[in-house]
Amino acid sequence: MTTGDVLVVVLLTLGVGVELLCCIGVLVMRGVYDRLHYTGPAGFGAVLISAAVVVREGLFSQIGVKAILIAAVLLVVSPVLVHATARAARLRERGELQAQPHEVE
Amino acid sequence: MNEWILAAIVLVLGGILPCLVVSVRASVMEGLVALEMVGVIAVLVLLLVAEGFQRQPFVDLALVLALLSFVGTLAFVRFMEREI
Repeated sequence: MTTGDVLVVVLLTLGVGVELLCCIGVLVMRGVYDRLHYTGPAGFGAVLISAAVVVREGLFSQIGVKAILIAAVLLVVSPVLVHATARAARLRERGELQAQPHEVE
Repeated sequence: MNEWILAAIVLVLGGILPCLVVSVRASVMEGLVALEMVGVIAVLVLLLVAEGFQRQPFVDLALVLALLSFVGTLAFVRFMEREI
């Protein structure tokens, strides 16, 4: 087993672990906002798994370039989705985005 | 079975099943959160399967799914903004 193989297994384990923790968080928490906290870090798990693919196949292989692209897309997109979902949840709950007087100190 | 396929199986069993439970049992908005999570997991499973079976051109599917699940979830979010 070479150093690259060990690195691949470590990165894969970390990436899958991050994703599983996110899913368990979504399952265990109660309420939209609490569950939303656990969808954000999923992009970092994607970065770790893509890094494992890049370590195995090389940076300029067909799958290496696309794995980097996938990681970049997921990393950029997941905070945008979290923001949009939280905004929609508040609009659905209160009907407006403006803070109420009792919410402001 | 190599490490990639094993990781994909673990992600399907440990990642998609909990989100399925949330989307069935919780409220609509919480189901939407679970849908976002499943989108990421599905993209990663496709990437791992393409690498595990050495079918490298198929990784395009994962890339397309990453973009389309973003657009699809944004459409759902827009639709859910109003109480129905």
